[in-house]
Formats: sequence, structure tokens, C-alpha cells
Amino acid sequence: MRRAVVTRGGSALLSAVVIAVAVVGCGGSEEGDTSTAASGSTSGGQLTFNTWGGAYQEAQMKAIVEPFRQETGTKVNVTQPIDYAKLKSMVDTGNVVWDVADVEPYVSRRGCKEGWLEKLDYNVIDPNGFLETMPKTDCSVPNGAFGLPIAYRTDKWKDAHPRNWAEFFDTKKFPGKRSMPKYAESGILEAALLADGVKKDALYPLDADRAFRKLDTIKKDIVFWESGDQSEQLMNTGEVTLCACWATRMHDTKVNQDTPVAIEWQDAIYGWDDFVVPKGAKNLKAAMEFINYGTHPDREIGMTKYTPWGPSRTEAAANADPETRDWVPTTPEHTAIGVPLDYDWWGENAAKLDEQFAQWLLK
Amino acid sequence: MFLAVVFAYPLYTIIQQSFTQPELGIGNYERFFGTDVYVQVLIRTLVTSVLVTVICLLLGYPYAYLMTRGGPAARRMLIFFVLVPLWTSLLVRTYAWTVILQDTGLVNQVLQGLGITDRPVHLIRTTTGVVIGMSQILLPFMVLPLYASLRTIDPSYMRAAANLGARPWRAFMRIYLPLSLPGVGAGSLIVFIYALGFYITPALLGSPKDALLSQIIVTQVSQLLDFGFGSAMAGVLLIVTLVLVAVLARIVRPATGSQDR
Repeated sequence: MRRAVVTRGGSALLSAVVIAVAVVGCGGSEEGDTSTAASGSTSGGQLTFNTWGGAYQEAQMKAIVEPFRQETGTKVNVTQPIDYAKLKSMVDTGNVVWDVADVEPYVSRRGCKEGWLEKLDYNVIDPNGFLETMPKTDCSVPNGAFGLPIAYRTDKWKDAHPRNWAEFFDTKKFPGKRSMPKYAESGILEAALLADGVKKDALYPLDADRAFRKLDTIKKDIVFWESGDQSEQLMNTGEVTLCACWATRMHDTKVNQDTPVAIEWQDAIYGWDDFVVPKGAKNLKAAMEFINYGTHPDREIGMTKYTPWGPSRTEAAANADPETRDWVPTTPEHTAIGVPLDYDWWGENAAKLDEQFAQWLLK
Repeated sequence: MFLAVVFAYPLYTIIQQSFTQPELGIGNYERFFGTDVYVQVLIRTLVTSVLVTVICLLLGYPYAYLMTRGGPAARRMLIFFVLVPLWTSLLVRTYAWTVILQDTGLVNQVLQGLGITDRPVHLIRTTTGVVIGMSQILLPFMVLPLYASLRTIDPSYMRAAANLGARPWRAFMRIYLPLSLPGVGAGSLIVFIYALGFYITPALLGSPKDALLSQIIVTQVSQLLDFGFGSAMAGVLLIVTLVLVAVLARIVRPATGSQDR
């Protein structure tokens, strides 16, 4: 429920309902949501790829899935949404339907450690050329980054807008509601610490208590978003005029809904997604080929034609599509002033901080 | 047999999980009752449900009464108005409430347009918003059983009471209200139980601080992957519901007797 599930105008809760159904164990939604890139060739095998849905999935279909199908003849079933509970319970119950999943790296690190993800085959997947700040692991390769910069309504903040997290947290200088993501691993804690004066190379290990104290100071002015759709809607209606939002989503609402929104890239936090293979996946070989194909620089540049999804290979990041380049989080000009999430730390601490975050929300 | 498969077995697994994951014992339940915020959520869930039930009763009772007194055409109209929301998706109705209640929404536009306030009144992301939304959505479940029950009350009883010198208020309190109690009980029970498990409406109209038990169950299961603890919470909700139903059913029962004279 972290990322896009419904393309537009839908609500976060629809995804929640889908998840609720999925968790109960009804696999029915899977078949219903499947969009198949049917194979014309009989030579290739098949593969099920689970991803987030929405505009992001559409971009993946055009930039990765369709060309992969055409070049290899492999039949690719694409399902959505991603659901970590479902991923884990698939492995637990020995009923693994997905071959490749698109997950956040704290999940891939935890899954690798707890043994519910396959080790990747680096004879098939090219291990070189990833951004230094976005390392691969035994079980995962990064497929692209999302930025969590400060987004602001240009009609409301014409003359001045928050230029760093300290200003984002300054409700005297910039009064009104602001939106932030509603989960611990999003970068919200990092934003709070940066606002509190922590240097960006001294963020980890995170001083979570300090982050929560800083968040307490503006808690009554925060509207939390649970899905990308919700963040777009909040900015589009003007319910909030400032947002720690994904750049892809802000780009989408600007282009498709004419929302007057712009991005401040200074200290923009960026995290990324990994491709992983659940333990016991049935089409291992095709999965490895798909991952290698999908993270090839050409495909990553192709993705940026449709959405400003930050390439994970340096070669692609430097050559992002000119149309979306200003919104891409991993271009050299943006990484130079950006702040990467440290998922090795998050992999170890996600469970604990999830709990702390959930309790903090209820207070 | 069918029930056993589709209902009892999943329930059994949930309860079993709550005692076995991550380890055997009552650790999950100890953790729930040992953590202040979770107990607060449980209390908030109960208080919100009671509040919604009372509001539904206050709105639903006069409405159901009107239904029994109106002519056939008026009655059809009134029933229609109750049923239409019932046929509309819960998600759509809740979403409509967000549009009405949000800071840039209909209510605030009207208030500010009339110059009553110059700042938005915060309705969404507050307990008020949650209660408003839940009450509207659950109102039909109060009105329909109430109507069924009120319809069976013979109007001549009230005339007889008046004839014997009772003022309208006294006649209502002594005759009509006791006779309507089975309907009140049934409606309240249904609304209350539904409210206990509400998820979508509080999630959309409330802030995280207004979270109800079902929301934190979803957080535990789908976000924190803690199936055992989530199951334990579900277990707590189930037990609380069963206890309250048993208690309420006992309260309502004596009144039922008065009807079979």
C-alpha cells in the first residue's frame, strides 16, 4: 500500500481493501488484475512479475515488459499491487506465484537475512555500474530511485518557498498544513533530523527519538499520506501546499492535472526499489534474465521517457530523458545535493521503527 | 459444513496464530494489554462505537416513527431515502464525505462564504469527522429494524393511554418506548457491532490519532508483517464483541417478553 495502486482519482483505501482481501487469503484479485503481455512466440518460457500498479506500472510495461517479451518470447504476467505480507506468506505456505517482485530495499535486506528471497545469479545479471549510494545485495538489485524532495504549490508560495527541511519544519515562516508519508522507512525521520541540524553524512545510525521529538513540533500541521494517489490529491485540491512527496507523483499531477507544483531539490531524500525473487520461485532462469534486462541502462533511460523514475545505473542516470530530467532524483546534479537512504541500516531496524512509528502516530 | 470451511476454519487459524507466532504462549496478548497506546485504541474504538450508536438512535428513532405514521406514498419515499445510501458503495460514500468535510471542502466553503469563519473549521482528520461519517453510513441499519418493530405497535394503545388521562410524554415513556425496545435493541446491536469493526471510514476521515482497532490490525499484518500480533488484536476485538453482545442481549430480552402478551 506504499505506492500507487489506483492510477488516478482513486483512493488509498481502495488499495487497503484490496490488501485486506489479499491478506485474508483470497487469491482471486490476482487473476483479475493480471495484464498479460501475451507471447507470439512459442520458444520462450513464462514469468510473473509483481509491481506497484498505476502510472509506474504503465511505464514499466512500455519500457521493460513489452520489449522483453518481444526480444525473448517470454510470456510475462504482470500483477499488482505489491504486498509484502503476501510475498512473505507465499514463501511461508510454499505457494509462490511471483517470480520477480519490485520491493523497497529494507524488505529485500530483511528477506535475504530471513531466507525468504532467492540469491541472484550475477552470471546472468550485470553486477556493475550501479550508483554507489544504491548498492546491490546477494538477493537484490536496485531498479530505480524515487525522490522524496520538498514539493510546494507555486501559486501559494510565489516569492519564497522552503529551501531545506529546517524551513519545511518552520510553521511560523511557512504556515499551513503540510503532508508527509505515513511510514517509517519513507525518509520522514531523516527529514526531521536534517531539519533539526544533523549533518547529512552523520544521519546513521538514526537517532529515532530525536527525530520523533522534532516531528512532534509540527505534528498537528502534518497530514499524512498513505499512497501516492493520496499525495497527488492533497496537493491538487490544495488541502496542503507543502509536501514531502515522491517526485514521480508530483510530476504526474503537474502534467496530467495541471497542479501548480514545483520541487526543491536541496537535501532531497531519495530511496529506491529493488528487484527480488521470492524463495521457491518457479521460473528462476527467466527471472534472472528479466532482472538483467530491466536494469539495463537503455531500459532505465526508456523509463524516464514516461515517468521521472531515477535510473540505478550511473550511465543511465547521466542520460535521463531531457523532458523529465528536472524531476529525476538520481541525475548527477540532483544526487550531488541529495540525501540517500541507508537501507542496510533500515534492513536491521525497520521492524523496530515500524512499531515505534505506528505507536507515535497513535499518540 | 459449508460454514465450518469458510468461516470457522479461518477463524481458528487466526486464533491459533495469535498464540503461536512468534512463539507459543500468551505473549501477544500481554503485549497488547501492556502497551498504553493499544489499550487506548481499544477504548477509543468502544467509545466511538457507542457514540455512533447513540447518534444513530437519536436520528433513527424519529425517522422510523415518521415512517409508521405517514401514508403509503410518504412511507415509500422515506424507505427509499434509507435504502439508497445502503445501495451505494461504502467507499464512495466515505469519499464523498472527505470532499464535503475537508478544509477546502463544501462545508468550509459555505461557512467562509457566509463570513461565519475566516479560517477553515477542521472537520476531516478529527474524531468529529469520523463520527459524522460512520453515523451516516450506519443509520439504515438502525432505521430498518426500528421500523420493523415500531410498525407492530398498535396505535390504539396510545389512544387508550390518552383516554386514561396520560399526557403524550408520559404515554410515550410508559407505553410506546417499552414496546419499541426490541427494535431499539436490535438496531443498536447491529450498529454497534458494525462500528466496532469499521475500517474504511475512520481511515479516510480520521487522523492517525483517531485510528480504530481494525486499522492497527491492518498495520500489523500488511505493514509490519506481524501476523501473530495482528491476530491477537483480532482476537481481542472478537472477544470484546462477543461479551458485549451477550450483555446487550440480556438487557434487551426482558422487554421482548412484554410483546408476547
